[in-house]
Amino acid sequence: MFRRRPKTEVTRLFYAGDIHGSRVCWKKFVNAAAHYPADALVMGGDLTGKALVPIVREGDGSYGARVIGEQRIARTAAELDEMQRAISTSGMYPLIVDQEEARRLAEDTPRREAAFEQALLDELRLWVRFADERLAGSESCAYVIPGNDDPWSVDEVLASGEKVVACDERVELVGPHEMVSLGYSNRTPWHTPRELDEEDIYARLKRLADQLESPERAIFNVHVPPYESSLDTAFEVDEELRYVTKGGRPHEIATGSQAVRQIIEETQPLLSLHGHIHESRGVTTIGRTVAINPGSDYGSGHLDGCLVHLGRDRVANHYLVSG
Amino acid sequence: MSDLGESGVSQEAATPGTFARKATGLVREVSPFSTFVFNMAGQPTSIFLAVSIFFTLGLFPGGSIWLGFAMALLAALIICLCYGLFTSAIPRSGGDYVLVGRITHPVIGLISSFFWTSGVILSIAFVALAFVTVALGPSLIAVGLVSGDGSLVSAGEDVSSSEWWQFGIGTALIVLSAILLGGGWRWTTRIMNGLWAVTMIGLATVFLVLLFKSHDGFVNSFNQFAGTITGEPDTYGSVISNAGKEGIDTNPPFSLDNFWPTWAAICSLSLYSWLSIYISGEVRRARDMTQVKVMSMASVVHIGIAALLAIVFFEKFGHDFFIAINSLGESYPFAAPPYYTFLTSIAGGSTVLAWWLFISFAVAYPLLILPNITIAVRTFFAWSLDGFLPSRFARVSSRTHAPNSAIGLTVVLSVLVLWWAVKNGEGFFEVLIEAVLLQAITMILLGISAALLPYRRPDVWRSSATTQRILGIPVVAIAGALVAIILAGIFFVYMHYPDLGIDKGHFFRDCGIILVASLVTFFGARAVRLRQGVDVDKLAAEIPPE
Repeated sequence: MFRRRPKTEVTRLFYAGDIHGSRVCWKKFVNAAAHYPADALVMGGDLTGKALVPIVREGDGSYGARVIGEQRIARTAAELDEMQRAISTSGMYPLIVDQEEARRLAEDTPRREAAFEQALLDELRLWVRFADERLAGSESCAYVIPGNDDPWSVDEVLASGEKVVACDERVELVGPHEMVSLGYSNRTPWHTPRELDEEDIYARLKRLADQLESPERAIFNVHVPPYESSLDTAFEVDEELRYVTKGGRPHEIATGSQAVRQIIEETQPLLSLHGHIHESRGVTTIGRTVAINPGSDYGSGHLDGCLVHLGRDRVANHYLVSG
Repeated sequence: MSDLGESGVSQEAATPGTFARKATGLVREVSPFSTFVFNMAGQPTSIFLAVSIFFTLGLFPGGSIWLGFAMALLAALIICLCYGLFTSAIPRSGGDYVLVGRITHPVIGLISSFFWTSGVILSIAFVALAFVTVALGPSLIAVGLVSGDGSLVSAGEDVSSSEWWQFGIGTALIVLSAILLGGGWRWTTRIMNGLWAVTMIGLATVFLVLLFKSHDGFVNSFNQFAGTITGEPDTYGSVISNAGKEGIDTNPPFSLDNFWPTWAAICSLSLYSWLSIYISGEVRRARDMTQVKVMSMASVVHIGIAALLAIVFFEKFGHDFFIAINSLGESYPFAAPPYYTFLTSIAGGSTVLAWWLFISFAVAYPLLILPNITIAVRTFFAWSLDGFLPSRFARVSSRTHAPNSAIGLTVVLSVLVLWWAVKNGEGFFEVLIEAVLLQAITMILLGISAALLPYRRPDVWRSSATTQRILGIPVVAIAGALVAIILAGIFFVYMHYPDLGIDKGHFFRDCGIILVASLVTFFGARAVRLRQGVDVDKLAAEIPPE
């Protein structure tokens, strides 16, 4: 039940993922190092948001935007600031425009996409700077990978950090544990930027796993969860992004990666951390490997994550938290 | 995978004025309709009509159930607005434990949760017992009387009075409900929707039968039926005259003093259409006004149907008679209680109708058990995630995603309470009233926490369903304060009117036990976890964003 704290040296690791543009979630992620505390922070991908919210400057000097289905008006600088924070907390990017620019964005797809990418890169630069400042002088680092939803342009921004370690497709040392990271997912109906066929995922993970000196003490930080692990259950959608229903109800399927499952079964690392399927929060075991998906509810401003205490050869404790 | 609404369109893309890009993401499982049914299931209208309203006619003459309905609806809508807005800011499963704990302090969240969960476990056991003693037994007797089948009457009396039948059937109901939940949410919501549909069709049947029955026709049917039992040609008239002899006033003037307990009694099963806050983490469109609307709709439908049918009952059964038969003591002439199902069966004069009304009434009990078990399970799950219970209670089945250990704990506790309830019949009903008041304490804490939301967690409030203010005060803060006042008022009424069944000494003793148990759990778990290098306060607390 309540086990005693192990006498051996423990590595305290905090993992979260799928924060999708939520500034408050990123700040919480960085601050988790001091809060819990944690020796290392691991971010499992899907950093960037999915929506851009134009805040339209009206003729009378006020600003209007639709936030979570509610039309909100800001008449003062403080109210405008509040509006922007509410949008950022929800994982969306606020963009102040006049009425003419709002119309152009609505009609001109390339212009809208360029504005979107600019907004998400600007935001990510702020995040990296925040982490560098907040973690400066501490032993902790933030190990960060992009996820399948993140455009390629984020890699350069992540690589610019000092306390942010961009570790996609690399093996890093976290305390006495080697950590393998991969941000790709298997194929999805959304055709997002970083998707691979199963054999390609396996090949990349195999190449990384072969570099491990002590695979039995390793950590896997892989965005997509293993297939049929209970960490990967979601509703099936067709190519037109509609629910597949059976018996009048949405049909649940395992959406994880068979390649990830195979490599976990073969390598049997100590710990395997995943995200991607927000609603499939849970903990399970695959052989001796403890596999965790902490889920995500970034839109509410709460950071779903897991705090893991790693002994040299075992997972001492793990807690799913929502901070 | 994608933020899909029911239409299959990306929610962000569907929101006017927002530009979305292709990305994978979150799907929530429980639809607004299933959420509506979940909220209706927490206070089945058929049970409300049978046991919560009409007993006040004799006990509190002149209390005016009509004003009681109106005031209960007003209170219910304020609660729905408050809790709906509150949970839109923190759309997580766990209900009061999460909401109160995140806004005030984890220890207050745990105290709130202990009070609520104690009430829930008592309610599960009560509903299981009432399924036998209020639904199954009396309904068999009623069907037996209407059909003239003495064996059914005997069976109903045996079932109602036998402790073994009560415990056996009650346990079976709890276990079957738990097995259903263990099968996963899809099956649970499907079965709940089906059971709810049966209860509503049953109420529609009652409405239609009485709509096409004249008052005189009912009097004839009643006398014809009752004459075979009482041997009197005008039992209808006798019921009214006997009520007079027992000192029951069938035409009392309005009494404000008797109104408050009448209102409190009506509130006891009409203020719970917000229970979906316990599954907010699984509800679709949990962050906009949908939950407020769904909760409010459930309140309006619930109280609206009850009021409409009450009008029909008074009209068709006769005002004086209806008050008299619900108030009679020793001169009550039948073995079955005067539920609307019994009286409507007599009006219909059909055995098939009597069976149908019995079935549609009885299924309301499993319908009521399911959300209660769900709430207890979600709460144990949340306690485990925060380190107050062993981590096994947060584990879910890889096949169904059901938290089987938490379900098992709920079943064990409920069956133990059921056994105690069976062995202590009368005392248990006293405790049931306690359960209502224990839960009122939690509802007050929820109201206070909602009122504090804009001040304690301004960022979370700003990203909730609305940031509107009235006279400069956030709507959720006003609604939270009103909820606390309303619930405190109900609490006071129950304390002030002993006829409502509360034993103050027992109640405050039990409150003390629950309070101490919650504090011991909190500080005990915290000490143990600290030895493991984990600060429970921090596990349950928000990570400071700045």
